[in-house]
Amino acid sequence: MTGRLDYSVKNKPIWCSYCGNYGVLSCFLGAVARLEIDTARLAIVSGIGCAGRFPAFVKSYGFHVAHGRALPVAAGLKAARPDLTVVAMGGDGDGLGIGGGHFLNAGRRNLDITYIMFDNSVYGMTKGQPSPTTPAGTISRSTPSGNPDEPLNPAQLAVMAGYTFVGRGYSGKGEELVDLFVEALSHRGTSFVHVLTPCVTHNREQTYQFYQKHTSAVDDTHDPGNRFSALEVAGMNEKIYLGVLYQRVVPGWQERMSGGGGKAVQWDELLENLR
Amino acid sequence: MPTRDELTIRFAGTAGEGVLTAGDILAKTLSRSGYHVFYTVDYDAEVRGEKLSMSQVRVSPKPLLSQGGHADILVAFSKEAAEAHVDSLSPDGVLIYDHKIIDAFGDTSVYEIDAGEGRKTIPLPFLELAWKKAGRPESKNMVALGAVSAVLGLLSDAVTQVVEERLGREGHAAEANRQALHLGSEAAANVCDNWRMATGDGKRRIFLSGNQAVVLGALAAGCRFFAGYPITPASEIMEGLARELPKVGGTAMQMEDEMAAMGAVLGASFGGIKAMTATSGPGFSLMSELINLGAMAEIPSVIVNVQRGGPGTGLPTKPEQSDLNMAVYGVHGESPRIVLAAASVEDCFYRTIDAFNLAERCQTPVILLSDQFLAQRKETVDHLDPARIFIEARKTPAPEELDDYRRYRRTETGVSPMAVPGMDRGFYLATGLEHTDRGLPSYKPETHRKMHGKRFKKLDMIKDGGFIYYGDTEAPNVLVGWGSTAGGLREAGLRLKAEGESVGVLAVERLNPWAAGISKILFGKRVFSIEMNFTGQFSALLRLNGIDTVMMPWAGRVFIAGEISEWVMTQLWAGDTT
Repeated sequence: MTGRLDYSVKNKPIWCSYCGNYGVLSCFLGAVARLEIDTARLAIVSGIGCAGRFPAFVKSYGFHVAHGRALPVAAGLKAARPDLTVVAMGGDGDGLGIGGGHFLNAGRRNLDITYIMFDNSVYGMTKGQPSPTTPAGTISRSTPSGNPDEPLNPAQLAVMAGYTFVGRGYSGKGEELVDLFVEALSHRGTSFVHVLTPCVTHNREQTYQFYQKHTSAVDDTHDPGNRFSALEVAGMNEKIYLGVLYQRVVPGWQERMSGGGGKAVQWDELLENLR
Repeated sequence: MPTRDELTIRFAGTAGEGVLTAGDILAKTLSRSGYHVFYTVDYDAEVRGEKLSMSQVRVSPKPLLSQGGHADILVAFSKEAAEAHVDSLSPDGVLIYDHKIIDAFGDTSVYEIDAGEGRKTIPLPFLELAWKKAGRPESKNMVALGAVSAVLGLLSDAVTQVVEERLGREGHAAEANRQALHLGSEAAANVCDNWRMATGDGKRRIFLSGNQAVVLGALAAGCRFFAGYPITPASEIMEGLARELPKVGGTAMQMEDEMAAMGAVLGASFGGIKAMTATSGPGFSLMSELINLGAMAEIPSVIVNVQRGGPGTGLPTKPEQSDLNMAVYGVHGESPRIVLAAASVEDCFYRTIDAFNLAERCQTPVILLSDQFLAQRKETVDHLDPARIFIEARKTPAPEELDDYRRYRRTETGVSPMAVPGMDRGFYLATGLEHTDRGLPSYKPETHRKMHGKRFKKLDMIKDGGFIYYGDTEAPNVLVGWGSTAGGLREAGLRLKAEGESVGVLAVERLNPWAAGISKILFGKRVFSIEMNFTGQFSALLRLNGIDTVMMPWAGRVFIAGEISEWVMTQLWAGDTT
C-alpha cells in the first residue's frame, strides 16, 4: 500500500518480545486500513506508559502527552478539528488512576473519538507496581505484603459513565479485535475499547494462558442496547466476554454544542454594547 | 456653583444588599455622560451574609490612572458599613447613610454617625422608603442611587435608562426601582451643591472590566478555542468566550478540572487552532505540568492567570501579585517561559493580543498575569481598534519541506515550521520526552543539549522592549512596579513631581525573558519597588539582575496613589534634618 493509506513506519516498537501490544498494533493497523482512514487526518493522542509509545509506530499525527491526560487533549483536538479521526490511547493505570476524572468526564461528553485502554493490570514501564485493575492480594515491589486495594472494571465503569460504545477485546484473538476496532472507529460518539493485553515481563497472573482460558465471545443473544445486561456481561469473574458489550447512538457533543458561527467578529456591535 | 475636577463615590454595605449593582450603574451612567470613570469593587468570597461589600466610582472629565483614595461621597447601607468606612471620607466629604434599622419584626430604631469635623452627614432611610413607599425592600439600593445622582446633578433620565437596561423595564421590580430612584433623588435634592462635576466632553466611551478586555483581545488575536474551569476571579473570561466564540465558528469548553483545561488547549493548538485558558493561582499550580509539556513539544498556547490572594485556597476575591515566581520559575526541568503582565484595562486587550502573537511566533506557552484588581475593575477606554493590530500566525512548512519533514529541525532562530494535522506528509510526533528532530524519543546527552539550545534560542527573538518608562530618564529616583499597580505608580509619580521631586516611573510589561533595558535604565538610580506581595518577588528578580531596591511595605490590599507618594517622600527625606 502506498500514499495516504500506507500506515507503516520504520520505527521499531520498544516493547518486550511477545508483549501483548504488538497484537494490538497489528490489529489497529488492520482496522484503519480496512476503513481506509486518511493518514493525514489520523491523530493519535497517548498517555504515559508502554501503551503511550504507540503513536510513534503508526503513520499519523501523534501527540504523546503527560500521564493520564490523553482524553482531555484528544477532546480539545477533536472539538477544534472535527474533521480529524482522533484516537486516544493509554494503559489502565494511565486511564483509571491519574486519568480517572478524565475517564468519567469523557463519557459524559460523547465527542466522536475512540479511546483504547491497554489493560495489562500492572504498571509495566515502572517495573511492576499494581495498577487500578490488579487483583487484591497481588505481591509486588510496592506491595510486598499484598495489594490492599480491589480492582476496578473498566468496561462496567464506561457503561455507567455514558460512553455510547463499550467493547472488549484481547490482543491474543486478533481477528475479533480488528472487527472490534472497525466498529469502534465507525461508531459516532465516544467509543471505549477495553483491550486485554498481557505484560509478559511483569505480570505472572494475567497471562496469555489466563486470557485464553477465560475469554470468550459475548453471546449473540446479548442486546448491546440494554445498559443493565451490558453491565452483567461486562463483569469479569470466571468468564470474560469479548465483543460489543454496549452501544447506542445519541446526538453527540458536536450536535449539542452547535454554535452556527463562522461569521467574522462583529466589532462595532461588541463595542457598542459596552458603551 | 463651584465644580469639581474629580470625585470619588463609595457604596458600602453587606453582601447581597445591591452595593455592587448601585456602583456599577452609577459608573455606567457617568461614563455615558461623557466622563472618565475608574470603578473598583471589594467583596468577600461568600455570595451573601455578614461580610462587607464595597464599590467605588472615581469620576473626572480628565483621564484617570487609579482608583483614588478618600471618598468624597460615602453611601452606607448599615451602621457596620458606615463605621467601617467613615475614616476614608475626605476632610470635606459627605456621608449619606441609612439611619433607620428595621428588624425582622418590623420595629424601627435609629442611630447616628458622627463623621467628624468638617464632614457632612445626611441620614436617609433607604430601606424604609423602598419598602413602605415603593413596595419592595430590595430596591433600597435604588433609593441610594437616586440620592447620589441628585447630589451629583445627574439627569434622572440618564440614570433610569441604565437601571432599566441592567435590571429590566417591565414588571413589579422595575416599577419599584423607578419609584425608589425618584424617592431617593427627591430626599437628597437641594442638599448641597458642593459635589457637581465640571462638564465632561460628552463622548460615549467603552466601559469595561479587565476580564472583558481579555475576551476582546483574544477574539481580536484570532483565538478560536477556549477551555477552562470555573475559578474566582477568572470565570468571566470563560463566560465571555463561551458567548462569543460560537458566533465566530470557535469553541469554548468547560472542562472537569484545570489539567483537562490545559490539556484541551494543547490539543486544539496541536490541531492548528489558536487556543487559550484562564485561571487563578490554584488552577495555575495544577496546570504547571501541562504548560511544561507545551514548552517541550513546542506548541503555542496562552494561559491567563488572574492572580488572587494566596497561598492555598487563599483569598479568592482579593487582589495580589504573588504568582510571579510561579510564572517565571514554577515548573520542573527547564523550559522557556514567556511571562507578560497587563497594566490597565485597556492594556489587558493589547497584552492578550501580544500573548497570542508571541505564542505563535515562538511556538511556546505564554503566561499573561492579570489580577483581581484589574480583572473586575472597570475603566472607560477611548477606543479599541482591532483593525490596527498586526496578528501573527505560526510558521508552517513549505511543500518542499514535507518531502522529509523534520518537525524539530534546528534553525537560526530556533523556530522550526509546525505542520498542522490534515497536511499530507506532515506527520510528526509531538512528545514530552526529549526527542530527535523528528520527535522520536532520544536520551543522548548531545541531543538533549542541542534541543535545550533550540528551545531557549527562540526567546532571543524577544529580548527588546518589555517595559514603559514615564518621566525624566535622568531622574535619580525611580518607582518600579509591574501589572495592575502601574496606574497608582504613575499617579504617585505625578504627585511627587508636583511636590518638586525628580522621580521616574518604570512599569514592567514583560517579566520573562528579562528585559535588558530595565537593568540599563535603573543602574545607578535609587529604586523603589512597589508590588502586592509579601516577599517582594519582583524585587528579588531585580536583585538577580543587578538592581537593588527599597521595597514598600504591602498592607495586604491594593495601593493608593497618595500613600505611595507619601511613603516615597519619607524615603527621600529620611535622615534629613533641615
